[in-house]
Amino acid sequence: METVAIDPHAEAKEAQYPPPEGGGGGGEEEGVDIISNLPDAVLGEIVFLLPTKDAARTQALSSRWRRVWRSSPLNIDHTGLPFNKGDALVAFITRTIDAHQGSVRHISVPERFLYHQAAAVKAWLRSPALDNLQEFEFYTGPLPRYLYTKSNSLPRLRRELFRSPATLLHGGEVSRGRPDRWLPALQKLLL
Amino acid sequence: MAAPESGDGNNGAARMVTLISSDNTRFEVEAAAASLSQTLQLTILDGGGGGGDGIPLPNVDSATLSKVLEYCIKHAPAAANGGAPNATAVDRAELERFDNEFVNIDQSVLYSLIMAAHNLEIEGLQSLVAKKVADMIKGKSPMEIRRTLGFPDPTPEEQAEMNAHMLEYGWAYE
Repeated sequence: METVAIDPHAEAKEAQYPPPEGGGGGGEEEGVDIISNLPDAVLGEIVFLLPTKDAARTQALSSRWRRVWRSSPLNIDHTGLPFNKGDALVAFITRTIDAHQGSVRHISVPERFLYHQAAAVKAWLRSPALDNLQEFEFYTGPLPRYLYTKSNSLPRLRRELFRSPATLLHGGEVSRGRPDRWLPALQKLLL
Repeated sequence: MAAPESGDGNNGAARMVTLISSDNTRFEVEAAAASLSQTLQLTILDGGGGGGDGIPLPNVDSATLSKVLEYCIKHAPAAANGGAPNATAVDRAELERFDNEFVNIDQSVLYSLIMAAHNLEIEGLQSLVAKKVADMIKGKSPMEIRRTLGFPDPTPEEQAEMNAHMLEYGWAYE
């Protein structure tokens, strides 16, 4: 057996690679759809990294990709979605959360939703689809994000929902004082 | 404290482990680099992979493993610093440059890497490669995605399904 010692200081390891099979390269070859050999979970991770619209478009590729999208972790980002009216966006997100079989991992909505769409935000937070949510962003525009530090400066909804900014940043504790489990996996909440 | 392996060398020499690819090539690397793999980490902590033993990786061929290890060696120092809180901007820029170049590869190599990163649970590599594929898909129409990913031309049924999807998910195409 041959032993290859890897020298961390050697650059240019390319020479070790076998030439691409079939003289391909460039991926223009017909019918070599090797990406479909990857397991659903891996394709799901790729779909998750896409903006909401791009992710949804992958469904058009095949029934396999439709299945992947439906069960992949979902990334809902209002920027780039073609809804101008808040109500249309709310309806869209509600529909998407309800229909999605996978978990929702990231949601970004405009900050005003905290005030003007409070009921909808609450309903989303109660959905089991959000059990594995990692990021909930209330987007304030292209300004630096900031955190409210005094609970009395929080609008009513926020006090009601999260009790205090401290609990809100420790996703595991969001459930304190509530019978239902709120966002047990939330890692980041951006205000 | 416990160093059951002989030949470790306690005088500054880094501990080495041997990984064996599916086609029986042996790779000797620093334990710290191989430990970026969650899958290998426990075995290595237990003292495995040293001496003449080697850890067999039946799912990873030598071309892929050498690429994977190139990544691990480059990233091991930063990982050892726990996400490198004291890394300089220069170090970070260098890692970023390395990453960009690293995924500038043939699609078949890319997919082998995704599988290997998945099986070996190398988190940073998994997201790096998945992001590369996502970037290949981003901003494209379904037909363009099919071409980029090397799908065969759609059958009439697939074409009909594609059209139906575009109607149903109109918002995704605006």
